[in-house]
Amino acid sequence: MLLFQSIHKVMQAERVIVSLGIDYQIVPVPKEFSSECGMCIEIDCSDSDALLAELQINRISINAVIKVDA
Amino acid sequence: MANYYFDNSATSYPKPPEVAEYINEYLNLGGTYGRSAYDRVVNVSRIVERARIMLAGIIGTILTDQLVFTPNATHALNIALKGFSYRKKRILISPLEHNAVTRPVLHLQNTIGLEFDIMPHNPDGLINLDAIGQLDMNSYDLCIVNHVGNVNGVVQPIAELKALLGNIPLLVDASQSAGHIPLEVDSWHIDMLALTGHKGLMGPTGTGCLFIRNPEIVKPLIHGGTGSRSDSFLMPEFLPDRFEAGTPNILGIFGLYGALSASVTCGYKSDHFVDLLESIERLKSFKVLRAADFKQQASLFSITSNSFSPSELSDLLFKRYSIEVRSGLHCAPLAHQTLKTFPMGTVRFSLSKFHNSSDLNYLYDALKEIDHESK
Repeated sequence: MLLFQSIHKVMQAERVIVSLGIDYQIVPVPKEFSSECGMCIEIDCSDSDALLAELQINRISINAVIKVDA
Repeated sequence: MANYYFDNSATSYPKPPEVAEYINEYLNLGGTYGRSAYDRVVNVSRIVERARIMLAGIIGTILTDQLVFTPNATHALNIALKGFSYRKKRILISPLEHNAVTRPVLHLQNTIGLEFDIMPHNPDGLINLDAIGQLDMNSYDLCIVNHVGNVNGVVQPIAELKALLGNIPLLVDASQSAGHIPLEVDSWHIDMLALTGHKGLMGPTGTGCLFIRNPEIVKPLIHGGTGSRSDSFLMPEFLPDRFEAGTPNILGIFGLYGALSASVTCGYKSDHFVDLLESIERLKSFKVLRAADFKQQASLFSITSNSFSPSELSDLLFKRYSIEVRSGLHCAPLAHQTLKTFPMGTVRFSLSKFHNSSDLNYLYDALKEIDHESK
């Protein structure tokens, strides 16, 4: 699960995810991070390395990466 | 279809059909921006952020999150001017400023003792770069320039001005240039830029934005909820949230997105526009207010008449020819003082991409007829 500081960053990240063809879901921010921007992005762990690298290239900063057990 | 609406510097008309389509879409779909994660909100947030990214492309910046939505250019300029940290309390402004700049500046003069100097300029209001280069830039906190004068359409040389300013921040009012003239915020090293969505960009009223390159030089004007960092009683430090308290004008931003998505080709050639200006200048009862050099001319200009006051002439144009124009001071008394048309003002004609050569010919024929009757 990827958390961002703003909606702008979430939507920027979504564009990158779509361009990479990665499956994703936009979901509410978990309760322990309730002060964040309301939505975060859930992806499969197997896609995370490629995505994080691409987000870095696009200078889209992430606030937190949370691993959630299926 | 004939288009006799020549008041596009006030607000554009007609709008591309996509504006109404997207406004209608939002009215049907509903939903707010951010704050939750259900589909309705996600869909709205996508369009808002796409509009932001498209606007960033139009002004020529890759710093998309440093572009803040505002209700209009005036609000954007007020954020920049009232939130700026003045140390020397002296600024430089261009000679063709609109009241969107001069009124906040005069307010700051009365409240914090801010002083301002008007840039050296030519008779048409074009800033004189050679003379500006002689100024002691260390005296100034900030420089403000109206990119396109809203009375005579003079286009100011932004990149060259910024090169002379060095580290002095430059605030550009792009109200009359955005959508008409290419903007290169990054390559011109512009520090702040304000624009409106409803003029050259052809979006709805109630939309605008402020670009801020270095957010630390400006404090927020409005404080409130952003849907982010809600555990804090302070505004977030990051952009765009720092300057976007409260629910944005989603309806307007949807319409603006429609406008930015539309593909509109200009219906007249710039040569024809220059011909129009030169032809009007040959009519003896009118004086044309324009850039001395057509290379510095945007798609608006003003005239004065020997026979009619500005309000009489605009009334005649409308009642006899259905030509819609604005008369008076155009909220720019400083510009009229510079151009020696204060306090009577002028009649202003401002074009849009929806005009064609026939519309320009119709305008000329109307003025020619009035001119002949004036003799």
